[in-house]
Amino acid sequence: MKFDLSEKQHLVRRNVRKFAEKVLAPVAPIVDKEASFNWETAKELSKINAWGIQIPEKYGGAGLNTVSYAVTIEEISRICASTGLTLTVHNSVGAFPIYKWGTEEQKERLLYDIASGKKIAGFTWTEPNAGSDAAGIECLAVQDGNDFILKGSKIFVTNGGIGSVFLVGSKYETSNGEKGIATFIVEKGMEGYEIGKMEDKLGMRGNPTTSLYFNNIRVPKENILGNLKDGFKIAMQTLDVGRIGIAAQALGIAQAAYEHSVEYSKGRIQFKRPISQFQGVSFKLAEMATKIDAARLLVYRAAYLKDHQPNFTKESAMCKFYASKIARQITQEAIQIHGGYGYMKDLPLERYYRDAKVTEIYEGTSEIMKLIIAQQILRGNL
Amino acid sequence: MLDIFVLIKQVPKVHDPEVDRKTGTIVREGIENIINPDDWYALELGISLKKKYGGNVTVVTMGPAQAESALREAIAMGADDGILICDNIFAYSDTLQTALVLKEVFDKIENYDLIITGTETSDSSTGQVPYQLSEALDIPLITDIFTMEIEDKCFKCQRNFGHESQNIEVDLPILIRVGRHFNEPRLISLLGIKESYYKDVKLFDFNALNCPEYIDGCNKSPTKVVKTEKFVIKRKNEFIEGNVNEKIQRLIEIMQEHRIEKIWTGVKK
Amino acid sequence: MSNTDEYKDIWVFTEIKDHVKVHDCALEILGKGRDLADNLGQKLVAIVLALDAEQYLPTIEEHGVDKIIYLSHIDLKHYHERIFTKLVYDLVLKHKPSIFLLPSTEAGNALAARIAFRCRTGLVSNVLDLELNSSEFGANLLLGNKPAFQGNIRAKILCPDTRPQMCTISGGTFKKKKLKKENIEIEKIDYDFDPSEIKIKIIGAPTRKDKPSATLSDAKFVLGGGHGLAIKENFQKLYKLAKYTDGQVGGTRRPILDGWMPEHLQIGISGETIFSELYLAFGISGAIQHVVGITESKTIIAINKDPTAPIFKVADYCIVADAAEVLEVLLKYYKV
Repeated sequence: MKFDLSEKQHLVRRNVRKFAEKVLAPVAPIVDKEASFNWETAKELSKINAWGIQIPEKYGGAGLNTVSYAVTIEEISRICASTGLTLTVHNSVGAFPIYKWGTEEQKERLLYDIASGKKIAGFTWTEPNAGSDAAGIECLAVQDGNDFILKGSKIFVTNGGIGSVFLVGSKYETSNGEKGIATFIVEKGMEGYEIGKMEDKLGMRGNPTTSLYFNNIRVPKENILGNLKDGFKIAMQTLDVGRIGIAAQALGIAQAAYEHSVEYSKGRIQFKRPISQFQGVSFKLAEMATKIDAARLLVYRAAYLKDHQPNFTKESAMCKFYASKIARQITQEAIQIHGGYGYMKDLPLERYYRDAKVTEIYEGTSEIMKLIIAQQILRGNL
Repeated sequence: MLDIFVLIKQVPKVHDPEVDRKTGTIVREGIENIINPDDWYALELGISLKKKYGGNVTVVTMGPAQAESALREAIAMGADDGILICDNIFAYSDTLQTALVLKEVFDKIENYDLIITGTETSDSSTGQVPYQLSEALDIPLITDIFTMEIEDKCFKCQRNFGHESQNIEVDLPILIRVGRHFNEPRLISLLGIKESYYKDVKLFDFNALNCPEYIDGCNKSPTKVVKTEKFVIKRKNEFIEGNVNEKIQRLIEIMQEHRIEKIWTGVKK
Repeated sequence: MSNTDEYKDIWVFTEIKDHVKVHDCALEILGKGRDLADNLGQKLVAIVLALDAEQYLPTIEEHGVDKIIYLSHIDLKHYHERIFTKLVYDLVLKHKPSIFLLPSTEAGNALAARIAFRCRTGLVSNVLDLELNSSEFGANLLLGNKPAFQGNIRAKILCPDTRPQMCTISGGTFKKKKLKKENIEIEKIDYDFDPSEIKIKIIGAPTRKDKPSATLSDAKFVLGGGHGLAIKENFQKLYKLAKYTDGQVGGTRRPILDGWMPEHLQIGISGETIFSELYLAFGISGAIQHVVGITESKTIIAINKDPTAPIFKVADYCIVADAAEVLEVLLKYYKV
């Protein structure tokens, strides 16, 4: 068992970090403050293939493995969690399902633009009355000829304000009375597609989260993803993958807060010595370091398993559950170590704290994660 | 069409290394290895020239086996292939030996138009290799360039030399040393990293080269390092007391002790 | 080059600066050369290549030399790679010096590296100290103390088996010695160079507008400006004070990002290292990225209004005051 990244993965980490520090760092506080999306950095992200990290080279992506993917999301999120979110949703739950379950025609039609960042992708499931109760969605698509007429709405859609390709989970009814849940590919520009107002969020403010309204959109049969009745299964498997990206995101945020805390505690002099020399502070740093390391191993392990075996549900739930928890804990302690300065917007600590919280909520709350882990354990997957 | 070669070195990413008391050498375990910071500017120049004039960029390094990762990173940026000069015999080579080995390599390569290097390495910072390679290959070394153009295998440029700003022309092949911040090195893409592992890296070991003059190993290197130690300067840390004016007065006194005087008009000190 | 006993005397490449005067650094090296020559019982020889070289000889004679070897020719007006290398190498082959010291200047560094290569000998560059050392490698060898890793490491290096033992030295490392020996030997060499060996064709060569000889790493007195100076006007004051005191301006990353200072004046990890006698840090906090570039300065005075600024840890003299205010007063004092 080798506990180190491969040489290629080290190159990925080093160069994504260089990119993030150079291109994203100046912009991160601005997109947070103004709750805006920066199209210039979106173009720069295209240059390094960040919109198609795992999409195979034949569709214009970089074709990297999942550990490299996790490293990329972590390094981006360490500087700008909002950008990390945009990318992980686009890559993991937007692009990935199309690659995994799509027809060749769908892949040819969509993946190039997605890999280049020309079309930003996303995944919508949550509705006003359906969050954790995923099967309780109310969107309905009724068959009409070969097409389906989709009606309903989704809330809290990550990338809602900038995306043009969304996977939509919806109930369906066929002409011969068959019912179930399907995943449709809905594109901006389809008649009846409406973007709602942008949410005013606590954190991840650089990611435009909106509602989406589907006013009798005619979804052609070419836009059904996989088999019609497999929609729910596709969604659940997609989320298994998405959680690894979210966990990597949380890891990046925690890492940033931790690094700041170490630096600050070495330079801040109180009672004639750096505060890092007081155990009250150094013990906090020790706990942070341990938690981050544990989270990182869980994330990389889940990423590795995704590439090597079909079932990694338990491991991906574990890594998201744990990484998001420690991110919240660490960002909170980081502010504490910085004292009054940590509370001020001059420093990024408060932004890390605000950004971290949602990682325990989206793509499955921590409670749902525990449910999943428990189910797996009780099924015999100890 | 140009045959461009860029020389790079893999260095430890550390500015304040530990010294192993037993061996007297720098501790390198656990330290990340990176491409020498000045070399990025050389790589960027090589890649831009290739894009402008067509041709091939080969990145060359001399080092232990792990230095191949530096070549991969350079290829990820846009070089076409790499050469790793690696053999136990070459370990601990100083700049003279490095120049002699490089001469053998380039004699074997035969066709080269441009050899580009950075200014100095972050570990040894001698800056000597470009000059010594220029001697070894008997080709001109051009430094401190600000504009350049290549036409029919003739290199035309404007450069600073001493206190002149020269317009020069010289036939290829030549060596170019690129200054820090001469250009903006391009960022490396994920696809670039993936594809770099498909490209060719040739290994040149001792047997592959003629090395008639080569003085092998650390034992025969003309320079010998007899001691390496950590160095920490002890500063006085003397706080000057008094009100602002008193502090400034004391400052002026110290400046005068260091012979910082007013410059009288017309006559320099 | 195998019989080291055949090699004698300490040579110093006595560079002429801007074809106006003898380079101060060369005179300082002569000072140290004098000590080495006395210890070894050998001669100190100055090597001069210049146009109208005769005019510089009196100054050189006053700095402790036993002998001067010189060439004078129009082609030697400016340093030229091929000409100087060939001529100096011929001299080395003929006279076999044991030690050859050169100033760490653009010309000195180039010449030293090339001569070392041609002689297949070692070159220790930018030494901070030189001494004679006896060890298992041999007796009375020249030991150079050289910084590496931005000055955090010192390496002691010698060159036991090849000759000459070569080093380059920066300005400000040694002190000049005023001493005129009796019976100084002066040897004039004829100029012998085939111009067809020159491969570089010079089309035009106007004088540079910037001052190339006043680079940060050569400067004896450096004034550094940091974020604490805050506004453009204060940086203009810094430039003025430098002008009045013949100092060089440098700075940290922040004023460069803000546009108050050009990129090449950055001092620190991704910029220049200074070897000044005196460094004044105005409004600089002392982040490690900058500090690594200043530790080679002999004396550091820091002015910052924050008493906890890390710069005070690496300074010899610490002044807690508003940097802009201090700058203003100094400017009044030094103004001509």
